[in-house]
Amino acid sequence: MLVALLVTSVSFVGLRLLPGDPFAPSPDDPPELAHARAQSRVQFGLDRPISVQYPALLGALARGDLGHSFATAQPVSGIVRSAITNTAILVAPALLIGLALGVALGTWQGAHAGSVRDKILGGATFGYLAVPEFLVALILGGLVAIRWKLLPATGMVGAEVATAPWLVRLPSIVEHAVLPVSVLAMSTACVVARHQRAAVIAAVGEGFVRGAGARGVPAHRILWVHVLRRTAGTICAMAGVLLPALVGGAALVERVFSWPGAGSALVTAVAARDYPVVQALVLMTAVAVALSASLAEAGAQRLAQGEALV
Amino acid sequence: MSRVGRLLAYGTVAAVLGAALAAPVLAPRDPNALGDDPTRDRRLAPSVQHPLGTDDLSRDVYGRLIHGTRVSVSIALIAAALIVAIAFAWGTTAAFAPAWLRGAMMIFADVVYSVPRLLVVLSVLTFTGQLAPATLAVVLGLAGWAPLSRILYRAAVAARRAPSTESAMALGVGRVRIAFSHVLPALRPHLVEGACMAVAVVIPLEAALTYFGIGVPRPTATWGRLLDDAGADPLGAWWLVVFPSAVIAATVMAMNYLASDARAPRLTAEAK
Repeated sequence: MLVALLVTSVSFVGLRLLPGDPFAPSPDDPPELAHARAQSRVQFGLDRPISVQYPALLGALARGDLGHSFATAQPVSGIVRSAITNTAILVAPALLIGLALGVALGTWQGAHAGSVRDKILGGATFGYLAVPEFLVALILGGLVAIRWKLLPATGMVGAEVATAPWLVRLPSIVEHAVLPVSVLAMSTACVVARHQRAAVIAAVGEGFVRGAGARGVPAHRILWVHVLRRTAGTICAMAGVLLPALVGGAALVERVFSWPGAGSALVTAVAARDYPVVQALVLMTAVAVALSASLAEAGAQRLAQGEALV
Repeated sequence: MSRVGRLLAYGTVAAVLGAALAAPVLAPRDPNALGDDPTRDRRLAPSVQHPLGTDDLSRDVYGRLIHGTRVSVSIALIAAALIVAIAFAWGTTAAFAPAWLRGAMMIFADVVYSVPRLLVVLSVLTFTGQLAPATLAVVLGLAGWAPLSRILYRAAVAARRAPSTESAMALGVGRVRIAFSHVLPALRPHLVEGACMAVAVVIPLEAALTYFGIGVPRPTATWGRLLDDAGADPLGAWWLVVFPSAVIAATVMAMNYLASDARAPRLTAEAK
């Protein structure tokens, strides 16, 4: 709640401080257009001072009213809802796949720390993280979609099923999502693997692991049950920390694959100086990210408590 | 950290900084100049005359890469300096502030962190149109200080509560001296790490923003612009993609390496 208020304030003041006005009259306007511009200014309340506009905005937000787009006059809530849903379609699977893959890799590496294969994997994740994500997306898209034509290169759904009910569209959406999701999941997996490796190495040195070993618990069970449970809190907390970067990275990957998500919508709205849409997009993305992050934090704390009880 | 790794990392940093500083000497030609015969000299593969080939407009890739290094590195250094300075000021102020203000400052840092930094930069940049490199650096810096401020805050609180600091306070040592001889040394590895990480984050960001046409305007050469110059068919002329990507990747790897080097405990220094 507090987060939402702060984000609104900052984005409101920031946007209004920037030079430019969506309805600024231009000297070579014909009189009718100048009149229409002035009317729009009054209609959207931009002629009033900021001290009046801001409380009005807060009141509207409290009623759940995000206003109307300056550019298309459509309700903002619809634009924002579809954009954020589309981004979530990329980010949620990427986060889950990335976490699973990263934990598996990191745990294996931690258990075999110092071996040749651990070093090769370590070098690979280190090197992969140094290549900008959009470049990976470009090269992967260029090879898989354009050169080999295995998967669609752009968009979210094939034109032939664009208006079909969603169950029919689903296979097409999945097909379009494979490339962007893999790009995002790969970098998540690399970050997670590096942290997980360190966490496993730390956990293996602890007394309870050696105790389990002395009790005759088989080694693979110690690793994948005891040690993994020990690191569960860290993994959960990491999901929260990774999320903002993942959403930011998604904005670029969306542009490479022309995916109609929050990043693409933001760029369109910003280019048109569509204040209500920009504001709502930044606000809703921030709130979604902050909520998911605090959820992850709470989960991490719960896991830590459970550990203390055991 | 192995000696070879550290040598490679420092070598990369020195080479990049050297190229940035000595750009006019290493590549005296104007980086935006076209070839002698613009139609014939388009997309030439690397040769003795053009060691890294030429691009779609017959410009020499080597010259553009060297001059681009200058712009990209300056942006990264300005942004990193800003990130470290703001994070340091915010984190240490919060660590020594009264409890209510401390909480408020850290909540604000969390809010800034929770808005994906790319969205902030994207909205600011597209609103103001394309930006001069220096302004872009400032925007990138202002958007990225939050996570480091939290790390510095934790480290400063830990240093303030350390037994040695508390006993120094009990002995009546002044606040300024406490700050400089107890807190600052404890923060130093975090500052070095934070600065390296900041460079490692800003370099791909600049490349991405410039590539998508919202960073540094044309025709100024930067690492991102060179990737953009590769055009719609980046796989057609490998030298247009491989050289800028390799430079970006090597720099980011070196900075990440130095960051983890700073994080690792220095037992030798303590033992001496």
